[in-house]
This record gives sequence, structure tokens and C-alpha cells, in this order.
Amino acid sequence: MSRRFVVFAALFLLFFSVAGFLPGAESCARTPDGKDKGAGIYDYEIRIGWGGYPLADGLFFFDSFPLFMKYNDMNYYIPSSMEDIYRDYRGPAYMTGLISAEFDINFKRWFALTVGLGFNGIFQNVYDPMTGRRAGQNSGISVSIVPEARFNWLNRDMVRMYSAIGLGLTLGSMTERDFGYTDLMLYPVVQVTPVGISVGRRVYGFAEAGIGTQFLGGMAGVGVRF
Amino acid sequence: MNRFLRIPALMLLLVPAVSCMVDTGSGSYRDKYSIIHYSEDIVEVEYVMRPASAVIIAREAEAYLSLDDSEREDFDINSVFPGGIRHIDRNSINLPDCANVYSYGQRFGETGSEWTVSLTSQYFVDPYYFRGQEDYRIRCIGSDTWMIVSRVCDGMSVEYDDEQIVVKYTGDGDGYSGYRVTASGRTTEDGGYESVCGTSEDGLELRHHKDMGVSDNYSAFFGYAMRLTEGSFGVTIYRDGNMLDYCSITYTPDNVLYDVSLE
Repeated sequence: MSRRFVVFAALFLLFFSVAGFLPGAESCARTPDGKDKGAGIYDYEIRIGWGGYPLADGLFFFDSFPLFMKYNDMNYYIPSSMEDIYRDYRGPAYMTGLISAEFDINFKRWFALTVGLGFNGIFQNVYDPMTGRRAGQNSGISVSIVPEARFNWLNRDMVRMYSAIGLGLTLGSMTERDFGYTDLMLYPVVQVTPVGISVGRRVYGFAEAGIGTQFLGGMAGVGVRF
Repeated sequence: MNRFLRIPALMLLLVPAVSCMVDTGSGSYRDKYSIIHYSEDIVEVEYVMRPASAVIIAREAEAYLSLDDSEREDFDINSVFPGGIRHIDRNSINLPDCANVYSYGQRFGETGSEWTVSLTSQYFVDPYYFRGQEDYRIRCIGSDTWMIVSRVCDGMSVEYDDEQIVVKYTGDGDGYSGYRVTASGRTTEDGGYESVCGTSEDGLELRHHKDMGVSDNYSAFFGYAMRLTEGSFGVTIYRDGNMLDYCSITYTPDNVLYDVSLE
């Protein structure tokens, strides 16, 4: 993992953790007797986040798994036709990582239901084998919708910790310019958040670990409670 | 900017900065080795080695098929076909794991006669694709000289020009039979691709080694049993009439030399 990524990730998490301490709209954040509302009093939340390795997308579109990223072995495939020899070739493939937007309904201090919409962008340059110049791009996007049940097992005034489990669906599409076709994939999402933390009152930052087909790794973001 | 807008703006800025790489890419398949592989393992096999093997198998089968029944009983078939033979009919034999030979009652060495040799051994073009059975129609055009009339493979029929592929028996050496092969051809593919191939004017010398000590018919007529020892074979690749690459292969008894347009 590059140093640049680590520095950005640390700044990112730090920024949003600090953002949780910023005062929100004062009238909404206070109880009728003038006291601050704590983290667990609000009925609804909206949050946006980013992060994590989109596991299923990587596997289905690139046969790639984290820590075992596929290194194309040139010796593995020897083209046997002119069309294959002179086909535009592919550069490294990137994904944006999961960008998610959620709407949460807090039924109890310890329980919430959420509906999340996730997006992952995929892009990969292709090059002309005769000139080595960029000839275009393979690109794709996957969109997932995942309802989740979230269980808050630590509720403090400023800090909440939780776990969650979700089941949903992902629709992925990848257009491969060099082969001239579009791949469409529909697959189920099973996503578990073993631990997550939110810091703040009305406006908060959050960070969580995720394991599942939607993403693997850490996600961070910001939310608003109302 | 409103402080609440700064947050999603910063997230958007960070996305391209830390996007994860999930594949290192393929790299270009256009390299020296691909050109050589295409020229030697695809084109040369199609226009030289497989047709020549068909002719050689037929010539060896002639020694048996030309005999009457009593002579056939005394014939040491395993000396020619170490994997044995099965009779399809009186004029046709099957060489297990190798080929079927159909003489139609004609003499292979008689000018004008035509035989069919079906190569039944699977030929792997690459790890993903193999050719099915290939049926070669062979015509005798002179003393110890044959041309390929047509080939049917995977449901596709190809008719060759007169003397486009010619195989001539040149005599026996120490443990081998010698042949001279001249061939030329043209292959087209979707996308405007075309390859033009051909042997040098004197053709290629091909030796069929009979001293391999093998026990199956495939090994007796393919692989190391067949060696090109002299001459050259060239392939030039075009797209829409523009030359892309070339490969020239020169054979000597001890070596194979490649001259390719790429380093």
C-alpha cells in the first residue's frame, strides 16, 4: 500500500472525526429544556461514505482478490490469431472503491434500519499495440442497494459503536472497448459490519470495517442526524 | 464554501487520488514471440507440416495397401505403424491415434490418382483451441510428387490452387526418408488482417525419422519424427493492405534462425 494512500486515509479519518465535534444547528440539537441532544435521540440519519475494496466487482470483472491482485503473466496466453496479436491491450485497471449514500431510521437507541445505495466506478485504459498510445478506455459501474440492520451496542453522548448486517443486490456493467462488448452482472450482496464508530451529535463522522461482497476493508464518511 | 459542502467536495477530490488498482493490465501481445508463434506454430503447421504428414502417411500406407491378402499377412506392419492398424475396408485403414487412409483402390504413386488422408489426431493450436479432424485430398502429379487438392477441417473446406502445396519424396538417408516441400498461402481474418506465407523457391527439406523407437502411430508421424532441416519459410502480416510485421524462419540441420520485424 503506498505511503500517499496511508497519509490521505489518515487525514480523511481525522478530518471527519473532528467534524463530529463541530456544533450543528443549535435549535435542532437541543432538547426542549435546552440540553444538547445526544447521539441516540434523533429519528433519522443521512450519511455518505467512501472506502473499501469492492470484492465482488473485483472478482467478477477481473478475477482479482485483495492481496492477490492478478498479475497478468504474458507467458500464460500466447495469441494464435492476427486479431488477437494486434488487439488493443489493457493497462492497469482501477476502481474508485465504494461510494455510498444511506438513509437510516432509528427505531430504538440500539437498533436502526438503513437503506444504502452504493456506487463503484471501474476504469482501465487500452492502448494501440502499434503505437503504444492510449486508444480508449474500458469502463464500468456497479450500483448496489443494500438494506441493513444496525445494532448500536455502545451509546454515549458523542460516541456510538455498532455492528450491522445487510442483504441486497448489485448490478454491475463493464464495457470492454477492446473486445467490443458490455458485461452485465447481477449478484447478491451479503455485507457484515463487525464494528463501526460514529463520533458527533447532529453532524458526525464515522468509520467502520466491512466484510462482504459489497466491500472489504474500511469505510469512512460523514452523516447528519435529524 | 459552506462547511457542509467542503466535506463531500473533499471526498470527491480524494477518490481519484486513492483509487485502488485491481489488475496490472495485459501488456501488448504484439511482440517477437507472438509473431514467431503465429508464423511457426500456426501458419507453417497449416501449410507445411500437417499436409506433408498426410502425404508421408499415405506413402507409407501404400507399402501395405498395395499388397494382396497373402502378402499382407507376412508384412511387418509394426515396422511402419508401431501402433498397429485396423481395417476400415480392403482399401482403407485406420491408424489408431493418427489417421485414416483411403486409397479407393488406386496406387498412390500413379500420376493422377487421388487418396484421402484424415488426420484424426488433435492438434493443439494453443492451450485453448485445438483443430478437429483434417481431411486431406492428395493427388499424384508426377514421379514421387504429390500436391494437396483440398482440406476439410471443422466443417470448413479449402480448395488449394494447383501445386500450391507440393510434397516430393527425395530419397532415404540414415534412418530417415527425405522430402522437399514447397508451399504458399494466404490467410485472412476479420478486421482487415491478412497474412501471406511461402517457402523459399527451393522449398523446405523435411526428414521423416523412422528410428525414433516409438510405440504409437502419432509419435511415428508427428512431433520429433518430422524435422525441417533446410530452407526458409516466411510470413508477412498486413492490415488493410499495410504491412504490420514479418517473420522469416531459416532451417539448418542444427539450428532454426528467426528474422522478425520486432526486437
